[in-house]
Amino acid sequence: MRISILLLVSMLLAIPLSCCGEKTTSLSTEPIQASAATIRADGLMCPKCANNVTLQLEKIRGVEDIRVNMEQGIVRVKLTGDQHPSEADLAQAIEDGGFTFRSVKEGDR
Amino acid sequence: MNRILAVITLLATTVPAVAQQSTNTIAPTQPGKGQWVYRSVVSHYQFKSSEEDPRNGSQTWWTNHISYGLSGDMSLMFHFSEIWDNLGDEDHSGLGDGVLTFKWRCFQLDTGPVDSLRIGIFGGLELPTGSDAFSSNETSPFIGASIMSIQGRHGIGQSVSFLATQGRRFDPVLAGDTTANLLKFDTAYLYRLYPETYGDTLEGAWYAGCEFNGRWESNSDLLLMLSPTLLYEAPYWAAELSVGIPVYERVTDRPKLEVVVRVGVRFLF
Repeated sequence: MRISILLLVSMLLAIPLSCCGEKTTSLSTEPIQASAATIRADGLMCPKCANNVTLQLEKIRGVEDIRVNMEQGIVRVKLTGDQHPSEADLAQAIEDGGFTFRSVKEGDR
Repeated sequence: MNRILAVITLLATTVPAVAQQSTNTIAPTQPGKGQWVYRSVVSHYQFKSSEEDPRNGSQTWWTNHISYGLSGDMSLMFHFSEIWDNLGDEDHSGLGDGVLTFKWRCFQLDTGPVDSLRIGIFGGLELPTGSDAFSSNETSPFIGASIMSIQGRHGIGQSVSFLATQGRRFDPVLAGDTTANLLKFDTAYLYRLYPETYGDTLEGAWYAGCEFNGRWESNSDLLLMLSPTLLYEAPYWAAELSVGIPVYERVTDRPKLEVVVRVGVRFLF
């Protein structure tokens, strides 16, 4: 039995331990000025998976009317109120949902 | 007769089937950070007599899973089951052992809007929290790994896990109930029936597929099973149906499994 456990542990340790997704290192932390933003994300897979994006973005103050287009990997949000989120805030929400953030643009196109 | 019913059910559910996490194959998926998933599954096992155990009958498990996303790639899950047993002369019911699982998605390569390759490892403990007749009365550790690839409407997943069984249920009927260690190996293929392409808003999707489930125990018991499954997945909930039919079975000291039917729901919040 010990040999079996050792073999299994060895196999698991052979798995690469680093993620390959792009990291969100050079994004602005200043509030987005526009009243809408368009986010590109990959790996949305299934409706319930992709809905994690909606739930993560809903936690951010100033984000409303979240629309996820899975086929295109595009998430459109409207930004309201006095305090808009930054690009980095939106990117972090995508990563916390379990997906790969690609880009964010001001506006809804 | 039961075999005929099982075949009819199999044919009836060949069109239907799986999702990103199919019924039996553990997938490297999880709720997002701070999100919860509740999953409730009723599994009805029908048994027939074996050479060493003349009993016929059934067991029904109502299993409740709760998962929590610790981060975008780590989660905790706990599940426990209420069990009804009518094998033998008397009916019994009680609480099964609780199972605590930690899952880490250690590799993720998202190559398109819906395309992804993910690998996860997981481990945990089966805790002796059940009532007497349905508890192993010992803490048993397990460890495993899973891989999943989604490409457009097609998905394939594989998981393997090893349970170092420390205790033994009073009346073993399923793999893992005795003191023999248990190796589980599951493969799932899934196909998105509908929609062909997703629209501008989130909408529900139908998946069909089939799993190959293996259960090998260190006392040489072996169960190989095919499980056609059907899954409907909406943004906030999902429903699943799976019918497991043994294609090869070698057991000692317990009845043979004839068929298992699973029906479940999942909620994301």
